Amino acid sequence: MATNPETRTEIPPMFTPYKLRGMEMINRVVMSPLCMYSAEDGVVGDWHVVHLGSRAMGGAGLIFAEMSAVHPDGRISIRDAGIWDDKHIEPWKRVVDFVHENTDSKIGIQLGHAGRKGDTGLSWQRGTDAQMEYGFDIVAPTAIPVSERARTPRVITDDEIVALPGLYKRATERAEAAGFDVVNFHCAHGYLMSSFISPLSNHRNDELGGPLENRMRLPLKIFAEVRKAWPEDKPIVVRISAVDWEEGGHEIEDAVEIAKMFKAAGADAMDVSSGMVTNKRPPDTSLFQVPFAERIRAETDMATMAVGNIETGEQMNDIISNGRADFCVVGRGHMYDPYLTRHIAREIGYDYPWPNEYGRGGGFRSKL
Amino acid sequence: MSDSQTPPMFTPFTLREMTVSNRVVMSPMCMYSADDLDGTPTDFHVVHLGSRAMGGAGLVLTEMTQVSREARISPGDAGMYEDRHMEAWKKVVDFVHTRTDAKIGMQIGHAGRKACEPIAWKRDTPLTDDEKWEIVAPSAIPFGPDSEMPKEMNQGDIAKVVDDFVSAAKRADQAGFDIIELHAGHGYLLSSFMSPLSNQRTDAYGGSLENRMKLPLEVFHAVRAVWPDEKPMSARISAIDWNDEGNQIEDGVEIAKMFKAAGLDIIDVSSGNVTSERRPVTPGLFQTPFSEQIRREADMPTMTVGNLAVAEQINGVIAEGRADLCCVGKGHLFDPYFVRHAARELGYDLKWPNQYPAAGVFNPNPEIMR
Repeated sequence: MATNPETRTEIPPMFTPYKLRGMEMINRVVMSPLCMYSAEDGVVGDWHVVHLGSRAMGGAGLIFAEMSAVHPDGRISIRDAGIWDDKHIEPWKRVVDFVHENTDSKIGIQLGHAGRKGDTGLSWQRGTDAQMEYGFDIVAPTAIPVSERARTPRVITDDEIVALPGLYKRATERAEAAGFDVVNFHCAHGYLMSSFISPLSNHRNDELGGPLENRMRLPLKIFAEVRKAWPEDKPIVVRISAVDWEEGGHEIEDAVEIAKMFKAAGADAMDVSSGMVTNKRPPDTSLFQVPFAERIRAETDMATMAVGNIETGEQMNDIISNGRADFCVVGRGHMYDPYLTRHIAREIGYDYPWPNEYGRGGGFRSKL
Repeated sequence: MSDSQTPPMFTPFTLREMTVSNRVVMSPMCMYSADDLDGTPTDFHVVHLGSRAMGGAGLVLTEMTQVSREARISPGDAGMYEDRHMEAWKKVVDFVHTRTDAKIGMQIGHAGRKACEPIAWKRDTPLTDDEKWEIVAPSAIPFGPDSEMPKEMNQGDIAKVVDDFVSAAKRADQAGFDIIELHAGHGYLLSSFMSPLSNQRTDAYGGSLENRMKLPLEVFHAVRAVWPDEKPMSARISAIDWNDEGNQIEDGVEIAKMFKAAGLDIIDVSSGNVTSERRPVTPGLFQTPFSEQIRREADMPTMTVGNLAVAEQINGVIAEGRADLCCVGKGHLFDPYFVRHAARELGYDLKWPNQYPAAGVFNPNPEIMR
């Protein structure tokens, strides 16, 4: 094949490989976990094969499947993906096998429990007449609703707290049975783990509430179970809300402490998001969360994933080369363009191999 | 018609009872990725076609899907000659129909003397004798100097081919496809009957253009008879052979007229590839003039194909009446969301799937998509 004369000889930073435990990624682009609200009783189907499969074909080094519920009452909506039952293994395996057999991407699953943000319906029905509640038994560390309009959660019982690590453990075993390469432990955005971590939602006065050590107790206990159940050579990433964007909530200093605790527990990378622990909206400006990933990386010496409004190859190369994060997590851009990574490679003149089937696509002249 | 705000490429178009929401068609492209030696499409095809249907094309066409085992170009070809093929294709069709606004068609074909090749990216490793099968053609003339010698078809072979096309069409209907396209171009079996370069028969199937069209039209009539009335049919042809001894554009026009008289709804106008002589590498819309001439002189809807790369070209082709539909192949390999991205570029508000709300507000570096 003729070499593109513009092709650089050095590898752009975003296209350098990276290894977490035994997982070798071919580049630094990660597709963010994105809720699809398209499963039936937690069972994923053709939608997910196409959604995740086409984006893995698109060249991202790692694809995260959406937050998948460890318990049916831990779903945001009736259509959330699940990992709470053995029946979920085979459909997930179909997605994983597609990615492994047809692409160079790795694929992870995000384990979650929606907590007090459960049963809020499909995203595109929220706030419309079509929004439905399905009577999920929603739980939280404290009986505080996530917003004035939201249902008030029930305080999670002691028995349920004792049972939670087991739910996550079995979910992890199913993720392994499905062949996932990495687990993303969802501890952000006000879902159950996050609601324990944030003082805005956790007003408990037992050993699970109060100081950060206490608020982290349950997430760390669960993390330890997940780590034990997950193969030694496979990494675990933890998504956190680095700051709560609200008075009385977490600031970046808390996040650094949280990351240190997860690091000590054996987490391999922090996936650094922010906010959404209450109904306060984060600022959502360009790269607004990257400073958090940078700070955590600098102060904990952990690998970090930056997420939020990352749009261009130039941004990604800067983030990686300036050591602000080790990975760039792109959500929106992947919704807009499943082949985002391939298209950026073309744009910056990096010769990224195309699948055999699409060899002619590599020769497409997208300019006149 | 549509209001003046709608770019021409985003106007709907109806053939029989099939209405496509825009004028972009994903061209049939061989994927060589069916289950080994079996012809069954896999999740690769679900993702390949499904993601491009999600990408906004009005119509996606499957790769040339073979009507029999011996009709395959390569062992990796997809087929429609077993019920298990139908079941697997139905999964693809159901995805497209339940999750997207696109229509989906199947291109059915028979490779003829171009059969029995290794898959595209293994052309350096010839098939072993065990892997080979007998190839057929109108005359015992190989495709090129390095090609296998085909067997000249007898009447029994011809009857089997017609039956195989009919069976494939029935299965395509069962699977729910919206349209069938007969592959009658590029030197494959039907095309090899149509071109005097490959057809030197002295019976009713060779000689004059009428005679050379006898098999393609027999196949067309037989398929049309079992294909539901409300569903349209297309045929891809090589409008010219790029060879002085071969078909010229006047023949292309006559071929279109004959298909039209037989009841064909739209003709998909490609060219060449009827012998191993390469067609000239011509930049730009080198085949669109053929589509334009056929559309005008045969007075029938056409699809144009070849090097369509950007939205302005598609708008121009449609607005100027050079074709009714535009097939985009390479552009769809490069970008499954080719149509969505063209819409963004034109400022046309193409609705995103519910699952991708944020895509509508994503602000890509415009350089990425150009």
